[in-house]
Amino acid sequence: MSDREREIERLGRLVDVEWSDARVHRVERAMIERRERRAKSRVAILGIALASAATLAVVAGRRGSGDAPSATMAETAPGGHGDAPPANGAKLVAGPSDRGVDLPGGGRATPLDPSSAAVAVEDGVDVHGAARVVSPSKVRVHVAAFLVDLPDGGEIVVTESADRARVLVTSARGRASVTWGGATRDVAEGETAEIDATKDARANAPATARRASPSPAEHAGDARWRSLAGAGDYDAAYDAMRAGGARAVGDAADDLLLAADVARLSRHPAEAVAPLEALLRDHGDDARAPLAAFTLGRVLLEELARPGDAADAFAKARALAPSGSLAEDALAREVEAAARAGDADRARREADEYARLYPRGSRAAAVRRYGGVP
Amino acid sequence: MTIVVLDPAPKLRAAPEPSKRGGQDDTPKETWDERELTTLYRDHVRYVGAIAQRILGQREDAEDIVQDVFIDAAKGLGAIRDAAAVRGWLATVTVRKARRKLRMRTLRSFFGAAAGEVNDDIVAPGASPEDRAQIGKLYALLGRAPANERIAWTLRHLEGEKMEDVAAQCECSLATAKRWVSRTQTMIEKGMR
Repeated sequence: MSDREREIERLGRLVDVEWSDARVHRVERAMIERRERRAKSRVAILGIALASAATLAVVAGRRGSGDAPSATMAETAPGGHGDAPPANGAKLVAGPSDRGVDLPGGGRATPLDPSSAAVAVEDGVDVHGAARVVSPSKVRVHVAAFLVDLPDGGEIVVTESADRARVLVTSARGRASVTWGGATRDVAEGETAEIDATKDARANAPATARRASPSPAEHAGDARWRSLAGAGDYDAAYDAMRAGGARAVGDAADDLLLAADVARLSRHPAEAVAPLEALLRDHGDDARAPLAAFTLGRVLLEELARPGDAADAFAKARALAPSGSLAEDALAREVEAAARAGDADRARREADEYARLYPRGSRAAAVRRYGGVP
Repeated sequence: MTIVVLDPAPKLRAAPEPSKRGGQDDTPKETWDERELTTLYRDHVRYVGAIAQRILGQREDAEDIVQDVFIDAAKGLGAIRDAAAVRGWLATVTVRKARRKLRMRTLRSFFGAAAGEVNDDIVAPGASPEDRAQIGKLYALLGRAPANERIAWTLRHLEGEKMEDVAAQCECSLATAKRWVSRTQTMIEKGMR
């Protein structure tokens, strides 16, 4: 390799291609919104096609059978309002998550983004943020001040707005019924309904009991920080979390991971350490424990200048899931952290291990550099 | 008349064979559910993002590409679950979309709009002012190269890919990939003097 080639290679390494967690999260949200917009466009096109077909059928029917009465869409629409899908307003987040909760009747609730949460409660499921709920039988969903019932089971997506005053309910399968402040609104299969409690005339009526018993999340204290985190407002979520005191964050792995995210993404990395360590200590067998260890390593290395501890955290991430998707990155970061901590022996040893396990690894060049391997 | 050829889906490699286990049909699923897509995104976003950012030299364009790639993945990956095949598919689609983006830049510059090359914010924080200037110059030179040649060179020299992988990702023969890389290398060596 010529000097010029070496110089160009060096310059190439100075192109910063690191993606921070915040950037990963932001792009994921944008992608989900884009995908959702595409899906809505498809639904709109399908709706227009179906409406045209229905109109043709009605016209054909009238021609064929004289003046037989026919229902208009407004008359037949659930709730009697001629309910049109919302044009805008609360956005429907349709992303996925690896967190979810099994429901007693055999269903499952899956939060749709990393900041959302779903917990099983006595009479159904309590959703913060956005979630997909699938159930073969009757189920009740609590979201903000709304109750969403699926009397015969089905599949819905519920999304609460950042101020928790609105809810967006999309029924992919089955009929849903939304109750709030004494009012009720039905959502038919295939329909999307946006309900704004502050605008409805009956919203001032005495609110129906939200649920028979408080959710585990409420036991844990003020839940507002979760919804703020769900809306991506991490600074406000952090303030709310702090204001909620020691009980604001529960002991569940979901809560600990979310609390760590809020601390990191609101630029309070030191406060992300405790929940991550608690997760590793109390939920070491949770599927997200490797991710928690890896995140802890990154915080310690990149934010808190504790490379020695970071190397241990990366080692833990790998030990928890030696064949997991993070294993290669964890080993590479362990080499980097060890080198930065001045532990050249460990860096070299782990660099050799990396070369053995991942001879064509994407981080091979950086590992060789940090490990002092020629 | 201009004929626009839309890219077909890349040829998938190493599709896992359906297998039978204990009498049960183990045929891989043809679609990816949301949970799998989330895992796919989180596992590979940095890989895809790095390729896009190095090729394009711009953060925003790279983020656009990342979104496009993972949105397409839901359909395009089909039954593919093998990690190496998934990674190869993602790389190929990323390169394909980056190529289109570069060609759009060229088109925009033809009509007088700023083509846009490297943004200063993609240079590592610790880089010296001299290095920043050199990186700017490097991308300015790359901006003069045809899209295919620029991509092949970037994959080889900035991403550190093997020539065989460069050829696979560029969907060309090994000889063509070598020719593209060599031509760009010569141009850059002259320009960087």
